[in-house]
Amino acid sequence: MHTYAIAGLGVTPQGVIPGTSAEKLAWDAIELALSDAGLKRSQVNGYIYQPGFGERTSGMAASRASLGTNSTLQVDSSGASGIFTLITAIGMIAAGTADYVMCIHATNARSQSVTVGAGEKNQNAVFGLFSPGAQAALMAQGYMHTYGRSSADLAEIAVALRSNAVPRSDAYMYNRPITVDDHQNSPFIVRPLHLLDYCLVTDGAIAFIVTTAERARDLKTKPVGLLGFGTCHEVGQGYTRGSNTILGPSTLDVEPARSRAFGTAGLRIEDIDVFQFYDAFTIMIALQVEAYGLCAPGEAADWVRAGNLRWDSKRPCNTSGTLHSWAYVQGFTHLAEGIRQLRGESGTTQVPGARTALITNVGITGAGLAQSAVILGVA
Amino acid sequence: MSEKESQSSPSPPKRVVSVEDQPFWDALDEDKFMLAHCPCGAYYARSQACLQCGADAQALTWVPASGRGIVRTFVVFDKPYHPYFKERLPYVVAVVTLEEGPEITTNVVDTDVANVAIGMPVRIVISTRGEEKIHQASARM
Repeated sequence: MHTYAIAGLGVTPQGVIPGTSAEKLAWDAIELALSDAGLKRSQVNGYIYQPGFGERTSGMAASRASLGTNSTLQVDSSGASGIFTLITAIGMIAAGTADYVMCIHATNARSQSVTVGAGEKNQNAVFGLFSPGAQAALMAQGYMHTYGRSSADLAEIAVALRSNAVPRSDAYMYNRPITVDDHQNSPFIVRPLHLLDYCLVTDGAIAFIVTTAERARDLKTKPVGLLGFGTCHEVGQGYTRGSNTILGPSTLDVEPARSRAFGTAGLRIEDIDVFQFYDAFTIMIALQVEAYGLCAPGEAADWVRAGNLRWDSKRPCNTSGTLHSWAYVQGFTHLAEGIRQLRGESGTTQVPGARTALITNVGITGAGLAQSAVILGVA
Repeated sequence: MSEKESQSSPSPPKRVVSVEDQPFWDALDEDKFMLAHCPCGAYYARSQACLQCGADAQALTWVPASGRGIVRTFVVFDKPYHPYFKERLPYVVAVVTLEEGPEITTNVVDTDVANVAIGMPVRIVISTRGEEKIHQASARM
């Protein structure tokens, strides 16, 4: 039983798209979502956007697309934002300020040649600590030390994520498999992380339309139900220890994101047909599959080596190759693939009969590690 | 315990200091490494309300610290994210757990990057970076 649903999805081409502004990419995604839902521009009266790296998308995209917005809002919790835009959309609808809310993220960071995290002003810049990748590397170093794991173990995750994109003609890394050796031979960025521990940076946009389950039934497309949400923000982690570095070196605490999402949905992890875990860095996959209980702590690499994580395994995860190999639209990437799976639109990596999906987003923010989770279900 | 770091252009990133943390950096400018201490016994590397007993920031006093600690985790930068660090690659950024309890972000110096390991003991030294003093963790005990 669910009250709200996703009633439209717009996914632009992804990859290297020079000469196109982030605003134009946003406009294209809006058009695709409207057409998918069969809604008129004037009917969409809420607009929520996540700003990105590179040229920043703004509320102007809503105005250019002539949406009938009663409210335009920016939501930014870094990589966790995608799911937070859905939560915020539900809030607008429940408060009575909007009926159909467009949630969007657009980026042209690839064409803008953005070095994520370069030159940022923060308390640790004087020590040369820059970039989300460095925060992930601090976690990875601790993880390897705690469980006696190596970079070659994390490589297994990169290889599996890539293998999911290889059959997908819409993926940036379509038909370009990698091996553990490729990973090990890729340059270090912030040790212990190699280039292939990092996600892509690409250009593109994704938009969703959120409405009530009741309204969604009357629209053109097959709605996807929003069954349960959970979030978690480790604001205290660094600060309680007097440091402003994210410190989760060996395990990731996913409570209450996990328990609230599953509790509201009334489901157990065994009930989930397909998973889309946030994968800005390989270490995030290791920490999440362990924290959500798909394998024991420290054993993610063995679990992946045994064939899991792949789209055609018993536990299909990240079925498009997501941020590592499909495209970089932050948390919107995982939501789009979850929606496609439940609509039966994932093409060559479609999980037969998928009816439930767990999507997670993770953000490395100025206020600690933010996590958001949602369970989607066939409406 | 002052160690001069060679100066060259481009200039390093500036310290980013919140008003409450000013005494920490003022002390560093006088070659003293201080921690905020709560009457309940807790120490903090940043001034804030005591998260253990709930005392507010005014109850905390800045006191000299041991400067002894161990590396909790660390990374090695191989790629420059800022022009100043381009000629200083590779360099280590670590989270050091101080003897008094708090953790602090810093560089590990006085050793090859290949020798840095989780659990290794370090001691805080004060260096000059550009025109400002900063704390660093020396591997030389």
